[in-house]
Amino acid sequence: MSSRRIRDMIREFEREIEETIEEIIDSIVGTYEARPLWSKDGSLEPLISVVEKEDKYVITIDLPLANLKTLSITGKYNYIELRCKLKHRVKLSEWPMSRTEFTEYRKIIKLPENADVANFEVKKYVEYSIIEIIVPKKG
Amino acid sequence: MEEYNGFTLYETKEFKLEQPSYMLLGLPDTGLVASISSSYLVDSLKMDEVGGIDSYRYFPPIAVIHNGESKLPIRMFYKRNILVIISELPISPSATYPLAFMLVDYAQKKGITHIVSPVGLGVPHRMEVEKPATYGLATSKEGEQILSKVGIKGFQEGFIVGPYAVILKEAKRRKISNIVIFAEAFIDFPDPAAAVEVLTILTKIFSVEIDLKPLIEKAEEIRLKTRELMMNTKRVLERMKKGYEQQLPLMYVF
Repeated sequence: MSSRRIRDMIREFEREIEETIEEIIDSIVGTYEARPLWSKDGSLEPLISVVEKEDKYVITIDLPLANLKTLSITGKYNYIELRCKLKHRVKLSEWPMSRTEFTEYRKIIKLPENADVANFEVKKYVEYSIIEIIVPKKG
Repeated sequence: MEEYNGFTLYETKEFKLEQPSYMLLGLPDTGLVASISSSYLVDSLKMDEVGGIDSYRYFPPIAVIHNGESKLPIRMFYKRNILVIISELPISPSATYPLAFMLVDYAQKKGITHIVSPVGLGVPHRMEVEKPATYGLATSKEGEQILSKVGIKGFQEGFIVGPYAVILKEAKRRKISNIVIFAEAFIDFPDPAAAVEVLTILTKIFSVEIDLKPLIEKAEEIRLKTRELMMNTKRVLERMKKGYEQQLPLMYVF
C-alpha cells in the first residue's frame, strides 16, 4: 500500500472521529434553539450581541421597524431593561399561532456583577435601527 | 431519490439545466446573506421547485409547511441554467462535511459549470459602513474570468469557516469551478443590504434582471422576520469557530 493511500486513510479516519464527536456534542447541547423570540402579549425579543472589552461591556441591539424615539432603557442591579415601540403594528405570518399583533420590543439583559449599569451610554444608529449600550465596568 | 451519508436527496420533478449552468447555495451563514439573496432570487425569477434534501440523522424532526404543502428542510429550485439550493435550517457542525461533500457530488453529477457560494464577511462595526464591500474568489480560470468581467475585487487573504469552506476545498480538489462572492455583513444580525450587494453581482453573472427595490424597501421587515433563523445560525457558527474569519492567516503576516 502506498504512503499516500495510508495518509488518505488516516485523514478519512480522523474526519470520521471528528464527525462522531460533533454528533455527540449536537445531541448533548442541541443544535437548534426552539425558543421563539415573540410573546402572546404583543412583544418581540430583539437580537443582541454583548462584547466584553477591558473597561466596558458593549451591547449591540438590532431593532428593525422600531420607533427609536420611544426607546426606554433602565439599569438596575446588574440588569439592563429595554423597551421600544414599533413604528406600526406587525403580524409575523398567517400561521394560527401568530394571530398576535406586535407593538413593541422588550428585553432584559443580565450582565456580570462588575457592570456599572447606573452609568450606561446609548448610541443610536437611526438609519439601521440599531443601538449600542455601553456599560462601564465598576472601577 | 439518492442517499448520501446520512442525507437523502429527492428530485420531485425532472429538469435539465442549460449550459453554462450555475448551482447557487443558500445555506444560512453570517448575516444570512446567502439565505436572503437566494430566496429573493427564487421568488423574483419565479423558479420551479424541483426537489429537496432531508436527513433523519442530522436534522430535528421538522416538516416545513408552505402554501399548504409539506416541504423539506433543504429545497431545490430551478430555472433555465440556474439551480438554487436553500436550507431552512443552519447546518450543524456534524452535518457540515457530509452535506458539503453531497452538494459537490451532486453538482458534478448534474454537470454544473459553476457552484456559486454567497458568503457574509462579518465586519465588527458594520453600522458605520454605508455600502458593504464585496469580494470574489474562484477555483477555476473560467470563474476568475467571470469575476473580472463583473468587476469584483479579489479576496486575497483570510479564513472561511463552515460549509462554504468545505465546498471550496472539495471543489478545488476535484477541479470543479466554485465562485465565492463575499459581502461585508453584520456578524450577529440579518443583513439584507449585504444581500442586495450580492444580488447585484449574481444577476450580472447569471445574466438575469430582477428588481431589487422591494428588497431594499422591505429590509427592516426581513430583519425582524428572520431573527429566529439568525439566532440559531449564530449558535451554530460560534461552535464552528466562525471567529477565525476575523483573523489573518499566519503565513500572510510577513
